[in-house]
Amino acid sequence: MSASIQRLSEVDRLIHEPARLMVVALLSKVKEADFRYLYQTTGLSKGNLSVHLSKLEEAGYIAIEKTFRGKYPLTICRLTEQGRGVLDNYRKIMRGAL
Amino acid sequence: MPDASNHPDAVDPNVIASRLLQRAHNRDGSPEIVIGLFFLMASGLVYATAVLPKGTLGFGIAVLSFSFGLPVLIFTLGPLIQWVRRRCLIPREGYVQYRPLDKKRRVSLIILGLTTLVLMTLIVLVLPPPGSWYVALYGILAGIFFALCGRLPRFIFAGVLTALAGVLLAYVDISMDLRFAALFGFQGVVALISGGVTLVRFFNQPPIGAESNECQYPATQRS
Repeated sequence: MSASIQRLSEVDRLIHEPARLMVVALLSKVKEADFRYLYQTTGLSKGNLSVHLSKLEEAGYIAIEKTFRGKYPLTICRLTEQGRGVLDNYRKIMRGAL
Repeated sequence: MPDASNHPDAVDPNVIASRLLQRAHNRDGSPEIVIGLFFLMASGLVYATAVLPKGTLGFGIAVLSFSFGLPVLIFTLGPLIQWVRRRCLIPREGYVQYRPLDKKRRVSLIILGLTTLVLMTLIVLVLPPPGSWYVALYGILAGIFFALCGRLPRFIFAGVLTALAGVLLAYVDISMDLRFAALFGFQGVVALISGGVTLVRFFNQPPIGAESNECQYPATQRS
């Protein structure tokens, strides 16, 4: 049990931040989602969400593409394999500790 | 009030994602509108089996539609809601592509669908007419199910109304078929009103400007 708690120090701090955890958790359940959907669903401000997405993209946890669907511009985000692995590891550590 | 942070689920990304997706799913009221139409259709079919003479073509069509058509329709509701959203609501709701169901979940859904189909057929054709308490029990269970599925005040309110309607209809002196037709119809109307009001409020919210869809960083262009 104590070993499980000690593993808390191995938690990825980039994902552990609540707003980014929301974004990554949400993206883990869908194939892809655009900026507007994430904005509406998480309730974060546009600027805040933009900053968090940038950080996650820099770390390689999410991939972002700009495209169009009809005449609507879409900024599509999707979780990468690396991001999925980090999230799975985060889940295991937190479950073990709790 | 319990502290959510003490609960293990509070930090489970699966739980966080499920709650966010549920909130997004119920944001525009379209699921309630579709469910409302479904219950109104069920109500019409039950009413038809109650008033049409047995052995007529109309009676046969109504029984077959209720037994086979409605269970099949249940599986088309989800894709129908997604189609409507993609066609009409992307500018307001944003775009999302859900992951396809994995094999295990698909198999369990097919088993559930087949079981429902067999049970519905048995209930309609084989079992003797149940007592009036059956309507009350159905109303209460359906109300609890609706409230638990939505987890929002409007769903809880609709669930309470459904339970009350079920209990009241148990005391009304009409045939069992008509009781169920009335209860399904009531459920349908409540869901339609709730979904309609939510949809109107959703459309009355100021839309996000097109420029807000753009993020402030370079990203790869999709071909």
